[in-house]
Amino acid sequence: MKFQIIKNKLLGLIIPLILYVAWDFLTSREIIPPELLPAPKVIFDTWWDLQSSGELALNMKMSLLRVGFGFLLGAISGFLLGTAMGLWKPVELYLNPLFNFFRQIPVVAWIPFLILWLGIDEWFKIVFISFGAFIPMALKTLEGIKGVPASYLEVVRVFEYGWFRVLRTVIVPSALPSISTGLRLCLSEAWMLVIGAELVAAGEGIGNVMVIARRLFQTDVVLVGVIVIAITGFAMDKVLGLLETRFLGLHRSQNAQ
Amino acid sequence: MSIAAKITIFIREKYHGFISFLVLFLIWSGVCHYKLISPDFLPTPATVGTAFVKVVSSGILGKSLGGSLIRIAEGFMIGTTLGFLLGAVMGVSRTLERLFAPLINALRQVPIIGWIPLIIIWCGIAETSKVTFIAIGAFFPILINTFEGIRSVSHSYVEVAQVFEYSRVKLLRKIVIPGALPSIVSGIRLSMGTSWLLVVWAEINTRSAYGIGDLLSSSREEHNPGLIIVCILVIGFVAFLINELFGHLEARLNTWKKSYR
Amino acid sequence: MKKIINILLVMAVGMALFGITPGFAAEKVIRIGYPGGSGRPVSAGGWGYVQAKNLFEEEFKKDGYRIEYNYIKSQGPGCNEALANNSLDFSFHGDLPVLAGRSGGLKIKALTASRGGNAHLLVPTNSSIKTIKDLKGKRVGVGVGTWTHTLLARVLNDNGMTLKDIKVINITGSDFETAIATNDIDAGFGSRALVRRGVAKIIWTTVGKPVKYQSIFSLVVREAFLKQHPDIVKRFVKMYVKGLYLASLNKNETLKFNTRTGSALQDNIDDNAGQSIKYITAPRIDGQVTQLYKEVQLVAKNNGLIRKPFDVDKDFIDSSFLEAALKELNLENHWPNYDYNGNPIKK
Repeated sequence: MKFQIIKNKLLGLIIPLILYVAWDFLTSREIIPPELLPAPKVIFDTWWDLQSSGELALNMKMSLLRVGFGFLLGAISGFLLGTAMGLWKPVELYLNPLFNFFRQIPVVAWIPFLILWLGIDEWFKIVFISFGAFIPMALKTLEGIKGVPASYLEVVRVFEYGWFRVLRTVIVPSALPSISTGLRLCLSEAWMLVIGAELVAAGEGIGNVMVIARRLFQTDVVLVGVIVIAITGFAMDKVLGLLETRFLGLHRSQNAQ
Repeated sequence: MSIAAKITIFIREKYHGFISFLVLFLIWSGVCHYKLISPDFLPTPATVGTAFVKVVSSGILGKSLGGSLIRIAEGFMIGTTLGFLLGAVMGVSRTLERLFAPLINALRQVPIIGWIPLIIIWCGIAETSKVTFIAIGAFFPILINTFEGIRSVSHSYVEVAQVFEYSRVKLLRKIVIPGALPSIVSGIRLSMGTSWLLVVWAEINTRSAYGIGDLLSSSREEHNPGLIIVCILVIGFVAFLINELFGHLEARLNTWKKSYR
Repeated sequence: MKKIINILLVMAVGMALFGITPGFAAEKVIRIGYPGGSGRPVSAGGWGYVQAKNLFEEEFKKDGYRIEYNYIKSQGPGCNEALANNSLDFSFHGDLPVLAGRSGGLKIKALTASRGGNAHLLVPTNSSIKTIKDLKGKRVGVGVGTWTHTLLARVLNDNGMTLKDIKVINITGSDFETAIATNDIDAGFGSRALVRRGVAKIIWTTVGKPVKYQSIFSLVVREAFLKQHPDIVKRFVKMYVKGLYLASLNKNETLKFNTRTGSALQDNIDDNAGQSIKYITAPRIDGQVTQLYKEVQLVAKNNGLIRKPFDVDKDFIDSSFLEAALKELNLENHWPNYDYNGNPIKK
């Protein structure tokens, strides 16, 4: 059985391995021009250069700060709107149509408008990212709260719980899984949008490193950038996933009791 | 029920929404009328209206939408075809799944916009790069949905088919694909929605003659706030249409799937 | 339902085929690239005369070639990218992009070069920035990877600063013009047109400075194209030299002619004050040009804009086509060679 699992894992390595060998072979013999695809070793060296000179760390810090602020701003406001619409019928009746209308507009369409209002500096990027984070968060919060089974609410009505207690013991726990899905969605959206914003206009940041490298014809640096953003995005999602199982796991077992 | 009655019910149920839109519009007009915000930043409703009429009557909007839609059609078709085929073979064969899954999962981690600089180096700034970019974006949702759709086909159906000694092709055509279809269609909807976003991103980053993203960029370059708003609304409206259209198809397929059982 | 499935299958097969088909249409075309900012998509100087007199079109008509002029908004770096993926055959762009492209592995050869291009460091009209030293910590707009990028590095280095002491904002063309008008950037290299429109003033300019600050633009060709069609390249260079010759006949006429790009005549006169028309049209990659290539490469290397420097003299310059063209047109002595300071070398 264990052997089977190892065999399955090894099977997955075959294609990446073949691709790697082909990549190495084709680039070291310059069958693929190095300006289009540098050799793996070159990529590694470049990564090491960027890493040891601190350039990568500096730019990653800028991008992560932007994501952090944008994510917080968007997630909090999205959560508030979602909660308000979920808990108060009138708010939902009046605001949901508006929200549904604006939600259809892809964030990318807002770029010129935001640049017009906020310039091309930090605020533009942060607000832009928060726009993207806001929508999934509000949506998922609303969904979560609306998804609380009606039978639960009837039970608490029978027991004549106060509204705060209803919120704490019934609504929040059963809405949490949906909310945490919203959080993960809006983090990955924020990470993508920071790259997009930095491609359009930026001073520093990992997206900007890629733009500059592209303009200076340093394909190796662009590739390092692609790999770095992929790993970072993956790591951020994993961390959030771990937090989710840790805290939601607790909640779920509490519920079960 | 008569149409009039339907309308009354519709209005009774939805009037709140109209009120909030009306309030928003009044605030907008009020702010513009009393010049609380300079028209350079917030165009008046009239400016937006004229800008809209202008781009429609000059045919620029039509050409831009047309340009973008052609790009989407090409990229979407290439991306969904490849995604569907790979998703299907991975769904059908566990060995192929094990072979490809790690690679696909690694590639999927790249935020789609992160591909832009690399694609520009590889494919240039002309049509090819835009189409490639859209194809990459459309590839993943359909792949995953096809894969999951096939895997969700109930085992009992497959067993029944085996009892009747269906051939492989017949099994695929009669059981697997119909069973997976709703999931595939929802993958198509996701891919289509993504394609629409990505064509805008692609056109912003690599300009072309006509495209909705180019119209958006030029609205900024020309400092034309009216046109900016028109672009936002048009892009939103098309996104809405795509969602509705495919959502409708999806819903129909789902009811069909239920009755089929 | 079956219908839908069948349609999907047909679509899948059709599109799989469709994906393969493009790129087969073999059309005979010569594709030329230029960095194009915000102006009209036409060129000035020698290129302008080539276009206006349809020199290429007539030369290559008998072979069935179409001539395609591409004005690339992302400027020199965009020309590199287009050359890299074979969407251009020739390109005419600035010193840093050409050198960065070659250093990044782009297979190109420099056939001719033009010197004497100017740039002005602009700040918004109401700005308090008066000298280069005031730029410290400010947002400076520059087309990353264009020739003004090394110029900026150079000017900063002269004043004891580096690119790290300012905030470099990658911005070009009309975006740059908007950003400086709205104070979104504090400074940047641009043309006199912005001064004319009253949105910016000049705090430093290459005009009247040593010629080492001026641009070198090179006509480059893809090596693969050169190997495939040496004959085309030869005739191409000849026609280009013809255009340069026409441009070199009368300075006032040429400056007036150059307003076709949308520039104002007075600006053209101011920019080229003190430069002879022979100087700005001279095509040879002479001692001055190679020396400046090396200097730009060194500045770029020191400021981290080029990672792997290469030997400029070796396997980058190919003057044979130019010399042949000059000989055929009897123009061997029309332009002198220039020394490092831009003075003609007497034979």
